[in-house]
Amino acid sequence: MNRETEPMVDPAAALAASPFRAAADVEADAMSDTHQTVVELVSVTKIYSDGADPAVSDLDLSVYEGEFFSLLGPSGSGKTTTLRMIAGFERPTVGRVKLGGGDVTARPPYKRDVSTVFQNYALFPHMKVKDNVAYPLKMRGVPRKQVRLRVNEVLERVAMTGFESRLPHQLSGGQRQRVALARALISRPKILLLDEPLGALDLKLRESMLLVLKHLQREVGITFLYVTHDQSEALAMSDRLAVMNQGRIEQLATPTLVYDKPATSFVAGFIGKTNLLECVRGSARTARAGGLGIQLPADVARERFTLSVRPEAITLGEASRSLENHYAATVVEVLFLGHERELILEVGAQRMTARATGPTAGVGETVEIGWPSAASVVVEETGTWQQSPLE
Amino acid sequence: MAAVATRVVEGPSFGSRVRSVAVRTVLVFPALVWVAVLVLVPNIFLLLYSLWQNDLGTILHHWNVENYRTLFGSQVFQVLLRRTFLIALASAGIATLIAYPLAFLVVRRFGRFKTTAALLILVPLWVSYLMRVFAWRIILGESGVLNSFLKSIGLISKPSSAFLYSTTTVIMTLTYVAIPYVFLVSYTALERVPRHLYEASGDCGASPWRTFWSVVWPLTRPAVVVGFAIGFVLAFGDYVTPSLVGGLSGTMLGSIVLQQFGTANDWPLGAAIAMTILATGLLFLAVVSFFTRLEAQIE
Repeated sequence: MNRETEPMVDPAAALAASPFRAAADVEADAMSDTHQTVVELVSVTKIYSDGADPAVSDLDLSVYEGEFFSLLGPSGSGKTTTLRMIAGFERPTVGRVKLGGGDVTARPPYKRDVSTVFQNYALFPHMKVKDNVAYPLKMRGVPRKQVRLRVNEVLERVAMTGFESRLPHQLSGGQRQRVALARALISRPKILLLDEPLGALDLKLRESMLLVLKHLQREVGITFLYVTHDQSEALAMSDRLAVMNQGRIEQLATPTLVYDKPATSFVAGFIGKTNLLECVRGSARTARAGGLGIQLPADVARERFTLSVRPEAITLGEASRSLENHYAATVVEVLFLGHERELILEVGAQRMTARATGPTAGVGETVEIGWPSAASVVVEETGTWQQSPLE
Repeated sequence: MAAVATRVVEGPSFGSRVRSVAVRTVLVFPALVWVAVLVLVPNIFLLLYSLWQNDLGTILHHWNVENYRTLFGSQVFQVLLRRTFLIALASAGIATLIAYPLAFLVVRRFGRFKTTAALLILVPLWVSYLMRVFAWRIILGESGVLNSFLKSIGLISKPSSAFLYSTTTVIMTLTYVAIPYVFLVSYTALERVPRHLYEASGDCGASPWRTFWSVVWPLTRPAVVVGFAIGFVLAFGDYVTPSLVGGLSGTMLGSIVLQQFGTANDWPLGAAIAMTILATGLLFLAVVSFFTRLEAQIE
């Protein structure tokens, strides 16, 4: 499941066949032929207390053997609840949870063949590193000699050899993380659940742990189910990912598809930045948005819809003249981000964001902009993702 | 996460170190005075008294260990010392066996009602100690609740005095007195064990039973031992309970101390008994403190 070799789906044809999620569905079908399902959720709903909004509502999900699968969403989107139901810490209010084909809905965590890496590591504070790591094997009655061998092996795998006799509070955050990983891996579970495992680490450590995780997953071949609110983590790591919002899956596809062909306005806004244009349908393959005439990638049946145009899809300057959508815009703001500049533009009555790698026009000046219609995506309107300034 | 600029802070100079030590001393001083006046000095006096001599109600200030020799030569004292120790051990032990599981139940099973439940269990502490002990007289006495109940269901024909005035009664009452303390300590300790440790243990394949013994118990044992020690100390030095519900067979050392300081007017001997109680208690606590060690740090 290499991203370079993923099956090519003609986006226009897929969109025409069924306006939304089509591309993802096509691919999901292709995958289920060759892969065995290890985790399956069947119309699962979780309501924590009577009268409250469901944390997860009517969710269907299949995770295939050996894949790196991410649940991505903002806090409160139900991703952690979903993971906790798979681990057995929560019971679904409605629906079934299946592991390896067997129904485990009513089974307690200690009778499920899954391991969890907790956000706060959850190492046993009174046990040395080696005892923490050996714990799952002791609980399963593995002979002591074998336990020692496997502890050494797994500690070596996470580069924690030499720390066997430390207590958790004598370790740094990254080290604890690796011990937690070792403890989760030692019983060789079918599925490894990771609940925001890098959330408590600083940026540099997070990046190196990302690589560690990715390598580890490839080496051990265990299915990873990874929960995160960090879209760049999810994009970088996953074979497939599900974007969740308000207890539902908005889109389930490969990272490239989720990024290039977001199914909904929420996904488009949550994964990277995008310009969402509220369009009114015109004649064939055209629409109007805020005074602009727009060429669409395909025919759209509905009267009103939302179009997503990524900032990097927008070409600036004379090169934009040959593109189907070509306008004059005024620069409102230029943000220097180091490797690139972000421009906030006024195009007709629309505000749009574009990117430039070199020097650009200054504030107040006029620039030519344009994008090919194929670079825009019609998305289902599900609200937008607004990150609070405090986060 | 914003990067925070840090700068290297040099160690404090000698002058400022002296100042900070001075400030700390001044701040700690009132507490030291408090401990000295209310704890240290009275006990030193007690020790001094135990080394003096009683002469028909007046105290002879001449140093000797006669009081202790009298005590340890006395059969009665030895019986009482052993009994007091065993009663304290039993009541603190039973109280722990009841209060710890109770605290576990409240913390794990009462959800958002757990604070209310904990408060209800601690309510007896609001009532005067004397009243709490007296309540048991009302329950167990000849015209008490238990007797009238048993009579009303026809189990006994006339009120029995067997329930009151025995070692068992004393143990029962002291257990009752100790329970809230042990509960409070256990509850606080169990509260501090985060939920994710239970989950992690279950995730590792441990049943709830094994989770308890390999995770919860090791993390809370030190606190439970402290709770047990509190119960023990409370019972060991008590004189109210034995005098109210103990009768002759329930007499404890505390009652004798009271007697010596009161009716017998033999302060030196009383002080010697008190010192013995203190020493035994401290010795026992020293042993017990071996079990309160915990290297772990719960975040």
